Amino acid sequence: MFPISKVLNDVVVAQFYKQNTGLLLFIFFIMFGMVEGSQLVYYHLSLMTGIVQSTAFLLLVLAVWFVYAVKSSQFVISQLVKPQNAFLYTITAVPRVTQLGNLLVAHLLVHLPVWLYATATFFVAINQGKPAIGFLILAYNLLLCLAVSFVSVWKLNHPTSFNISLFSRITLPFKKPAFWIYFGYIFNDAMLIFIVTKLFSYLALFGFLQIPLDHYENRVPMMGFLVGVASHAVLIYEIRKWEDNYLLFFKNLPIKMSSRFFALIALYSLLVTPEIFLLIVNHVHLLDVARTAAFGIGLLLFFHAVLYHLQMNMDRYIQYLLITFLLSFALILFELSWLLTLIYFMFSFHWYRKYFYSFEAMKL
Amino acid sequence: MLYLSDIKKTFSGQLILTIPSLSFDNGIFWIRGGNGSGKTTLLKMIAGLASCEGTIQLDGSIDITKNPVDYRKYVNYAEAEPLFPSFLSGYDLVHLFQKTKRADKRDVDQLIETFNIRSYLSNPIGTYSSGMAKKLSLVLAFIGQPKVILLDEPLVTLEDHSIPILLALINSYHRERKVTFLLTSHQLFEHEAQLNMQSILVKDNTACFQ
Repeated sequence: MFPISKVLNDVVVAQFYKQNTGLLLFIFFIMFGMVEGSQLVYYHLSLMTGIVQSTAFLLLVLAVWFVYAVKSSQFVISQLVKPQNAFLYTITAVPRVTQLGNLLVAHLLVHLPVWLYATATFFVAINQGKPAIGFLILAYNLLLCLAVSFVSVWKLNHPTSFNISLFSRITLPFKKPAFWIYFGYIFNDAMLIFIVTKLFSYLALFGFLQIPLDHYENRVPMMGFLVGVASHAVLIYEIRKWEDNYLLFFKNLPIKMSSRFFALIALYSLLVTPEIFLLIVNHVHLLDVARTAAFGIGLLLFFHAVLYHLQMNMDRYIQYLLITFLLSFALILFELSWLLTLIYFMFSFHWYRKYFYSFEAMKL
Repeated sequence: MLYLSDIKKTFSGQLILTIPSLSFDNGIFWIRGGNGSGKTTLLKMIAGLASCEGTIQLDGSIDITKNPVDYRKYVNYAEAEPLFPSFLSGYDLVHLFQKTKRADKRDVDQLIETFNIRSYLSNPIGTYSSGMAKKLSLVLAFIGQPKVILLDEPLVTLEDHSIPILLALINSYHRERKVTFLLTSHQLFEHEAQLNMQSILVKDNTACFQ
């Protein structure tokens, strides 16, 4: 193995699997441990057939892989900029193409669990006469790895880039509201997650809006909105983590709980504005746009507040996401999204009020 | 003035602090104790940044749990090693504190001049040295109409010539505005006479007057 690859393998890849053992084991258990041994092959063949045959299912799986890619790339970048790994900056002495090649290898290895499933799905797609879907799956994952490798190379060569912030130079014709700070975080420190989240969210919603229907049906765009909004879960987790680290001073400010909660509503309303715009230009009835937007904002608030309740436990957060997603999907089918919206808002406010002052992040 | 009773602070099941009763009248108090004794935790609990069992009340009626907004109007806090979002400018924070603590603009300007931080307030905090960030956090702690100001290690990373400025400001806020100060410091001993402080010792998971 080349020296740079070996160092990256030890510092990045090995550390990734070591520090995420719990999460990976959890996913492995969900995927393979909950199915009877004799049914395992048939079960996964059915899943892969579903991915190949159903556009909605394919989009959902692509979303899950995207979330994995973002999470793993964040880990890689965090390893690159750690003070104890400062020696890695010597890698910048080699040409950028070499840097990119070595980081791509690291990202491909970190992405290995996805590659195994994606490759098996590729063969299922070929077998079922859908080679385009098969190649799309491989190309999508390769593009994900390439994109995060480019970002890693850039970060390696610009370790203090956060200081040159365009955000802090933005002036508004009015006083900046408090929730403006959150957008500062998103545009400065979570830009990659934000862009990929928005790309996926738009793609999912657009895909659902293209489903041909013989009559007007609000449930289809709402399901697309659900998939898009659910893909914001990683971004929300990062926002919560950042709040605990950098917004401690916020707790000492005399701001009413209702105002704090309204600031969150404003944040998430602005965050889903592009998706709302897509609904409007696709001729979804305005009343349905309002219902769908309220549902999406409620879901994002719920993700935010549930992290207090779960003490930022990622494993339990994933369980809640899955349950919430399935429940939402079912209730949208039964046209009960208004009930869910109400529940999401009520639970969010209850947890937010209950935990905001008392929550203390576990410093690991 | 500031009253603590039946305080019990645990973290991950481990007892950190227990204070049956502790009352601070108007004054300047030096919270002493070894590393890890719980001084910072005590300040954070009083600032409302760390939760605990028990009662914390200001002026006999403003309860930290029952009146969280009013309480925070009157209790300000500066961290030992302040962490602020790197992309914000100092002015962003000053304006936020000025607005929420309902501070007089002239007072805020006066504080900015006193600590001589105006020249870099427009820059992103990510470009600040630790000393510059410390001075900003001290300015923020004095903003508004505080009745209690909690300063955790106020002299750490502060340049030598700023120390007498801070001590003079503490004295003037205490004498003229009747502000109570709770300070933790390993360095304050030599300045104790200047501030006429009373000592509180945090030791063996409890705190008491010394």
